[in-house]
Amino acid sequence: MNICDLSLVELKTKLESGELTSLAIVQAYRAAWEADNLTEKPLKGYIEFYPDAEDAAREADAARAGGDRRPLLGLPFAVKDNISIKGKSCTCGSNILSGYIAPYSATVTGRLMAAGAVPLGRTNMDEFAMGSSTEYSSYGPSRNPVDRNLTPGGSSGGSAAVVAGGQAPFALGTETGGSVRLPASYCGIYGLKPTYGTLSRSGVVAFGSSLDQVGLFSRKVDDIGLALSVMAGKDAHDDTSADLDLSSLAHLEPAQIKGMKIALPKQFVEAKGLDPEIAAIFEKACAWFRENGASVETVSIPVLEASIGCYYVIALSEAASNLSRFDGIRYGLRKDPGQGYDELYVATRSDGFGPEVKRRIVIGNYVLSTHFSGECYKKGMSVRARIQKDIAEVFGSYDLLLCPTSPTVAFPLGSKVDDPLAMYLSDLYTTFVNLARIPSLSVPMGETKAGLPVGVQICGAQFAEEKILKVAKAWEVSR
Amino acid sequence: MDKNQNPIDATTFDNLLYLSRLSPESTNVDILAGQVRQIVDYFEILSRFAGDENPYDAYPSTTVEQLRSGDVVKSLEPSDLKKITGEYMDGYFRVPKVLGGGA
Amino acid sequence: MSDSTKSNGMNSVGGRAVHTDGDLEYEVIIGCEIHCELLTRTKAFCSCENRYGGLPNTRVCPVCLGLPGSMPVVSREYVEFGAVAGYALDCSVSSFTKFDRKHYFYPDLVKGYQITQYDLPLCTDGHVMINLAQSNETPRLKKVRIERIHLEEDVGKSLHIEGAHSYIDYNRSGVPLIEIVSKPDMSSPEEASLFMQNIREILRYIGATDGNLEEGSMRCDANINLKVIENGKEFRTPISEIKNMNSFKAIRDACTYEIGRQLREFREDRQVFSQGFKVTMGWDEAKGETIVQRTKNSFIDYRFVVEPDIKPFTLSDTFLSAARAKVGERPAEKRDRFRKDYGLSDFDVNTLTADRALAEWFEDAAKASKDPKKAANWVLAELLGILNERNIGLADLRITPAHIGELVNAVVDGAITSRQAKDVFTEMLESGDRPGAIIAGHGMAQVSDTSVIEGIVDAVLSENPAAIADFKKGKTNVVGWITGQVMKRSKGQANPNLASTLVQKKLAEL
Repeated sequence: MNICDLSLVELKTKLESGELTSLAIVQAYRAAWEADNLTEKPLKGYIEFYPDAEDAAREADAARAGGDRRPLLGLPFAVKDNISIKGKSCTCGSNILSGYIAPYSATVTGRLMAAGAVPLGRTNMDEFAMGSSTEYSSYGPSRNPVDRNLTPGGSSGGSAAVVAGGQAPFALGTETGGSVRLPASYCGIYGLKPTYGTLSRSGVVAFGSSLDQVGLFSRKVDDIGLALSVMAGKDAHDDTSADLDLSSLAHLEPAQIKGMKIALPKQFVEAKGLDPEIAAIFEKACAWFRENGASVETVSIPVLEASIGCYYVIALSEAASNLSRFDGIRYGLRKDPGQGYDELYVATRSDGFGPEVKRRIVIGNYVLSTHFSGECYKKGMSVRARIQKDIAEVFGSYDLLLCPTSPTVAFPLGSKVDDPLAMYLSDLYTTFVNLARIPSLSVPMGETKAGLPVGVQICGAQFAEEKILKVAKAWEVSR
Repeated sequence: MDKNQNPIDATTFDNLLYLSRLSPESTNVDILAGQVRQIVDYFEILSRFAGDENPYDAYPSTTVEQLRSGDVVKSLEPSDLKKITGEYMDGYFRVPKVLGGGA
Repeated sequence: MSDSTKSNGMNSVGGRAVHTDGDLEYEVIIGCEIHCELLTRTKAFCSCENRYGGLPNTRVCPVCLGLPGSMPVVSREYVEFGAVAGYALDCSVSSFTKFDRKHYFYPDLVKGYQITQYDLPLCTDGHVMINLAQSNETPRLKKVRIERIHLEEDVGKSLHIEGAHSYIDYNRSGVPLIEIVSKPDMSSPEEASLFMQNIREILRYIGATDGNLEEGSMRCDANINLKVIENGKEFRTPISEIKNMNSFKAIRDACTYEIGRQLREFREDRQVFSQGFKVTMGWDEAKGETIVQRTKNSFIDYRFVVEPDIKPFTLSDTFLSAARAKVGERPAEKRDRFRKDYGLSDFDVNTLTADRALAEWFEDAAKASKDPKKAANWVLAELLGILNERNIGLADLRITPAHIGELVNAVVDGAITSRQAKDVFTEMLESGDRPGAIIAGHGMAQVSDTSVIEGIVDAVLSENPAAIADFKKGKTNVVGWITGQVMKRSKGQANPNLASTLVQKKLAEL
């Protein structure tokens, strides 16, 4: 038995039976990581594998021996570099936060650890979550375990790489416009973006506040259900968090596909840039649903053509705003040329931010500037309201929305890094989900002839996490 | 709205960089210009689709009764603050000289 | 500087006085923005304690320090205080509101933006009435309209000492403020000062703020410019925004200085500015002049955007009605009522209503007294002095309004004399015993039994034949002397009026 091949739920069973200790599990993952580091093209999914991970594992084992039966006791997880754990570095893949150690934990990591989980390490990401390939990280890019010349996707590329690469059973990422689903699709694993508000954002460094959500990576659907059951729920520290109880997700039954009505957004599934191999895999996925008794039909949702524009107007504005706090005054990098505080700001930020982040800040400020007197952002809000309304209408008649996660498979490292506009198009099929605030799970439904994974999104109405996970489970057990 | 073919003129560009507290030398102007053009295109698309939806419908809302109750909770200690920066002395955050207030 | 300025009073257009300065005529236009810290338990967007002072950076958390990943959460109490303040200033309070971000960079602003309200303020369209007359004159009321009141967070405080650095304390970061923006209705430095005083009085009255100016609980920005008329042509001087004044004197002095400076500048430098052009200034009290604060040609663009981390929210009718009810009687209303109901002088009314707690204490005493004016006397002439002397508050007293009521009634009913009442007062202050108990205890009850007093009168008369003889000769002041002797013999307990009447009667019968 290779510990690193086991899912989170399988590890939990073996911990509870005594077949494995948490220490053994953590040691196995560390060994895998260390071995990988010695190869010619290491994944570099982890920025840091925590030196004290084994200590935490020993504590968990001792607690279990003492009768502790918390739901995630001794189970390891990896966390994206923009989610705080008290006492650990949190740098968002950026130079400007070098030296910053979080004095408090994010609510999501706090809840995982309160349930007994053991943090393994922090994973690589595009700087401040701005990117689709993890190539904009100040630590350098991560690699796709399926083909190490390719990107694992982004911005949560590191988390996807460690889960797909057998260095963690489960990892947290974040999404603003597809940054969990895209890497999941490229790496061939599950990636869930929950409904906006399902998971607290307190302690998660903000990029686009009205779009951001913590996401989950795993190799089995049950793992996501288990983690979500512990993490979800109202948080007093996050006003936008929703009051819900997802404890039932710890035990997922496969859904009854028969009788379900599934919508395919015409604007995406018939789009020109869609790779034919991906289209074929998607068609096979639709066939599976039909074979199992669901009706599948194309639905025209014209406003989706505006989704990428709407996304960028809102996301960049909010990003420029959220990154205003990085000024070298209270934490992180400080560059002081000794000519006053304004010069300190310029020096710190120019030095500390990478080029793509700087560009996005400027564009974001452009959108918000007096040139437009806030009209552009307001227009973005109006279009977004329309997207939300039209999507909600679709869910009035349909159970699910199905759509490829990405128009392409994982692309070679370095091929798009100098062309941010080409990079933006990776988010084509994902951003509407964030705008509509609905949940979406990217399911690894096939591979191209070259063996590259292809993900398909199963989207539900707001707060329909249980439904989409159960549908994915039904598909998973049928394989 | 700025409908010029030149995405942004030099003064606007300088102002935007200053608003962002970024130095001109540290930004690739050509790539930036391309991104600006792109964003302007996105504005056009938005105009096509923006109707008379209330912009605030895009945001979940709540009621005043559901707001935080307002009980005091003690949080960070000075020892915590010493750990997040080296520029913390005698209980204060040390910064270059400032005058008066900012806004 | 403005020696040559003569005000010709009410030769005004649209209610604004027109002044003359040599060959120029001008009107003064002032609008004020008052930032007021509220007395909520916690800060605006986090659960840190909202309190003044303390060691620096001891009331901070990830939210009010703007640490990565921190998120603001607004409290119900904050909104309630804002709504009550709005109703107290006669505003309409909105039933739907939200927050916005206002971006600028400064070391005391932790997130690089301030959470405020831009286009949907909590309150709009209020007013106050300021009294331009002196305290002994008939009131001359002027309406100053309030454009809006909105919620926003305060920023940290910088400590300025010698050297190349400043030191920042973020205890004040995130403290809940309301910003009260007036319309430019004021036309003199005095009016601006009165406006600030008025706002402070009302907001202290309703318990929204402690109005402690030295501690910076309230700060005032004045926007002042002039409309200058020269040879029939109208010019407007650029608006000076004088920031962060924390005393009534500073407001008066700064505005007065600015009027002079703007006139001088107008004569010397005829630059044309776009309408609404503003220069930010500070008031240097020591030098007695305003100083321009922005040195760069700084491009100010606050890039307002809705605050996505705080859900917009609705205020129910129930909530709004409750807030309206919480306002209670405001100072001006209370003063009018005290004048009418208790027939007190303006001076007395003003003293009694200066503090809400005092006014309510007095009113309780007045309601328990058969003669409210006497109750007022006790409070004004005796009680306030004691409070001052001993540096204590009403809550520290051993007596209650009921004590005063009982004391007043004892005198009115004739149970004791006014002089005796003073002794009772002194004792009840110390012991907290009720007047009734003290009077009984000392057997002080005033003697009003006619036959008893008659007996004493007879005794005194019989012992003083010379006095009787004087009376018969026409010396009427004997009455007073005999009455005095009767009072003495009765150890002060005889009802003085009755004694005097009886003495006169007896003398007349002789």
